[in-house]
Amino acid sequence: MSVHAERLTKTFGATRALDSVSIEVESGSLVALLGPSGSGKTTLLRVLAGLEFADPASGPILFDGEDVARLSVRERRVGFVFQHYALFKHLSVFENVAFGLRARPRRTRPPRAEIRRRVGELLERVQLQDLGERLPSQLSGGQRQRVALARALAIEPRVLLLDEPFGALDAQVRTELRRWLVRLHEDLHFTSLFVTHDQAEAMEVADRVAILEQGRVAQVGTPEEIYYAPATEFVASFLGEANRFQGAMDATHVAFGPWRMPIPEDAPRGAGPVRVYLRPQDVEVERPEASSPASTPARIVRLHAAGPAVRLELALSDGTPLWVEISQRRQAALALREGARVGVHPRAWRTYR
Amino acid sequence: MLPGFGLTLGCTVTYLSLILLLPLAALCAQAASLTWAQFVETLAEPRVLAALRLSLGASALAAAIDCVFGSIVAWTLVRYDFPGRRLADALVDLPFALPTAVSGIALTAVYAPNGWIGSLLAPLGWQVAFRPAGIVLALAFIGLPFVVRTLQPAIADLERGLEEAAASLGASRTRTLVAVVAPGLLPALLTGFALAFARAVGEYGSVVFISGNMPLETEIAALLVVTKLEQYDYAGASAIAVAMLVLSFAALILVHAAQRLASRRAGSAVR
Repeated sequence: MSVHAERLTKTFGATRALDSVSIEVESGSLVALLGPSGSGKTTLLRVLAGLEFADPASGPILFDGEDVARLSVRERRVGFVFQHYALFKHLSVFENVAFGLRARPRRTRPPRAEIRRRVGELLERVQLQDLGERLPSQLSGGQRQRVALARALAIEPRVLLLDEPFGALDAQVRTELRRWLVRLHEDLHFTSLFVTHDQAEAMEVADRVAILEQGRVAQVGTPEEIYYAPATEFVASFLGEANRFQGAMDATHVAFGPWRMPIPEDAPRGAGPVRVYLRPQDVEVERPEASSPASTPARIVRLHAAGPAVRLELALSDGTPLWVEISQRRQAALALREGARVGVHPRAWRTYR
Repeated sequence: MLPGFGLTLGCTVTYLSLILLLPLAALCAQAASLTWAQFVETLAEPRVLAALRLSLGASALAAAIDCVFGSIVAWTLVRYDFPGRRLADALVDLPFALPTAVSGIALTAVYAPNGWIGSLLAPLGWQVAFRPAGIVLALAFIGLPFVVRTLQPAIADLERGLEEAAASLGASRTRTLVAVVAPGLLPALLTGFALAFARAVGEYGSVVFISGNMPLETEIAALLVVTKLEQYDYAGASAIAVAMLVLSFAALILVHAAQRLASRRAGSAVR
C-alpha cells in the first residue's frame, strides 16, 4: 500500500514541529525518517498514524489514494511499534498479540480457533512460539520488541510505523534485530516507515531515507544517494563526518585549503565563496616522495589503528587539521607512524553556498 | 549488610513498640481481665454484633463508593487541564484537614430532613441523616482523599503509549479503559480502598452527629466503645476494641493479598 502525504504542518503552541512536509512512500518499501532530535521525525510518524492530527490547513494523507487525514488512529488500521514497546503488562505474550483481533467488533471478529491459529503463526514468525504464556516482564528487550511487532502485524495493517524501534536496546541486540527486520520485510513486503536518529541504522535497513531538518524534509533518496550526493549542507554535515573548508569558486575550479580542484559535476557553478566538504574516506594518502601533482605535504599528528579503518589526524603545512580514514591494508602498505610525513590530495569533494 | 542497619532497625522497633504495640498490648491486657466466656458473652450481645456489622459493612460500602468516585476525580485532576484545577486538587484534602466533628455537623445540617438536600429528598421518602445511609455518606466523605491521593501518582505514571497502542490496534475507548487502563491501576486502587476502609472503621467524630446513634440500628462500634467507657465498663469496651482490631486486621490482610496478586499480574510492584 502506498502512502502519500502533502503539506503536513503541525504546531505545538509556538513551536512548529512540522513545516509543510510532503512525503511519498511506494507500496512495499521500507523508508527511514532520519534526523536529529527535534527535527519532527516522530511527529511526522504520529501524524501519519493518526496519533496526532496535523493543523487544519494541511494537505491530505492518502493511503492508496484514500484520504485518511480525518480518520482516527482506530480507523486508519496502521500498525504502530513504540520505542518502549508499550506491551500490555498484565497480558500474556499470546494475549498481547491477540489484542487487536479480539478488539474487533463482533461482526468482523474471527472465531476463537482462527484467532488462536493466526496468533500462533505470528509468534512463529517472530520466533517466540514457545513463549506465548509468558508475561512481558519475563522477556528480554529484543523479545519484547518482537512481541510488539507481532502485535502490530496481527491487525494486518495497511502500513507499519515504527518509532525508534531499536532505540531502547543495547548495541548487539540492536544489530541482530534490524537484520531480522530487513528479512521480515523481504518476506512480507509490508509498506513501512521507521523513525531513527541512528544514521547507520537508516542506511542499513531502509530502501529509502528521508532526512528531516527542523520540521522540513531536507532530502529523500536511496541510502547511496543521500550519502554520496547530499543535497544540502545540512545533510552533508549530518551524515558521517566531513572536513569543512571555506573555499572560493571561479569559472572552472574551486580553491580550498592548499588545493585548487575542478568543480564537481553536479554542483551549481558561478564565482563566489563556497563551503567545501571533504569526507575522511575521500582523501588519498601517499608517501611524500611518490606524490601526484595535486598532492600537498602533511604530518601525522595522531593515528588510531583500532577498528575496521585506520583514522589519521593530519596537520597540513599551515597547521590546518585534516581527518583522514584509510583501510588497514593501505596502512600496512604505507607503514605509517605518528610524526611521519605524507602527501595527501582529495579524491572527491562537495561544495555548498 | 548496609551500614547503619542496627541503628535504624533499633529506632524502628523502639518507635513502633512505643507508639503502636504498647497501647495495643495494654488493650489486650485489659480485655484479658475477662474470662473467655465473658469475652464471648460481651461480643455476642445483639447490640454489639449489630454495631460491629454496621461498622464493617458501612466502611466497606463507603470505601467502595470512594473507589468509584475517587477514580473519576483522580482521573479528571491528572488528565485534564481546566481553570480551577489546582483549587479542586486542594479541595480533595479538605476531609483530612477538617476536624471530623465539624464534617459531621456540616453533613448533618445538609442532609437532615430540614437541611438543603435533606428537605429535597424528604418528599421522595428518602432520609439520609440518622439512618445507615447517613453513616455511609459520612464515611465516604472522610475516605475520599485516600483513594484520590493513591490513584493520582498511579494515573500520572500510566504509560500513554499503552492507550495509544490499544487505539492503534482498533480498540474502542471503553475497551481500552477496561482492558488496558484499569488493570494497570488496580493495585493502587486496592491500596486506596484499604486506606479508606481502615480510616472508616476507626471513624468516630463525623459519624456520631449524622447517625442518630440508635442502638441496633445506627450505632457504630466505635461509639459503643465510648459508651461502655462512660459506663466504667473498661473490660467490655476493650473486648469490643479487640474484636474490631482483629476484624480490621483480617480485612486489611485480605486486601493486601489481593493487591499483591494484582501487582504481580500488572508486572510491577506498585505499592
